[in-house]
Amino acid sequence: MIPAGLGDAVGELVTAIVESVAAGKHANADALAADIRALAARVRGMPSTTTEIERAVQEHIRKHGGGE
Amino acid sequence: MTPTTNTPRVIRMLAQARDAFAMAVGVGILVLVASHCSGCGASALSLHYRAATVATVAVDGAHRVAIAETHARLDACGADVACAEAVGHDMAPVGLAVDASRTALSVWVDALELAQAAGEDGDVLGALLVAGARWLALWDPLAAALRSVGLEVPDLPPLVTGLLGGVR
Repeated sequence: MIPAGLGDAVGELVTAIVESVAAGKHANADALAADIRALAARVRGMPSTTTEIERAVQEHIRKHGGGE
Repeated sequence: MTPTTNTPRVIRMLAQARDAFAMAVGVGILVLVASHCSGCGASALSLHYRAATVATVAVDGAHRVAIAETHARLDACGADVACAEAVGHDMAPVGLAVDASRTALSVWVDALELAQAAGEDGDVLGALLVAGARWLALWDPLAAALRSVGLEVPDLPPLVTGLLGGVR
């Protein structure tokens, strides 16, 4: 049994490998620099998993009356 | 078989060997030109960019799998508050492992951005490899944390492990 989301994760990983190979063929240093900046911005924008788990638990408890 | 009947076969083999040699020389020349062609070869920074891109997708995938599992477990709890709190407790190590991986990835990508500005000298590339290797070293603990709650992540491709795996 494949856990929820894992199939997507595998597919995206394969896609990322293919895209990264294509992206590795930069026409010049400026193009590579732009892609690196975009990647850095993407990584900085990634959410905290700990925070999202805690938020999900608190919202669930509040939704079911436990927080009142 | 007589030498006479073998002659055409030998000639064919020699012709095939000649063609193979010519092809090998041609490919060798292409590789040589590509490796010395500024902007058209795969530079060290480009290799790191590709590996870090795959790493970003891997960490993002681990995050989404962890959050999806959290919601699935919470849904199964219904109105049971103690159950919901237990989900938070059980998923906490996964959250910490993903966050540690994300932080190491951020350091690696920041180093990549700095290396892009600094240029590809030996010290810069060495520091970049160390930053990437630190991220890679956290992948097994992350996979173990996910397995502890019944989840798995795909193996990292050789593109990543081949670049960083030998660094200590």
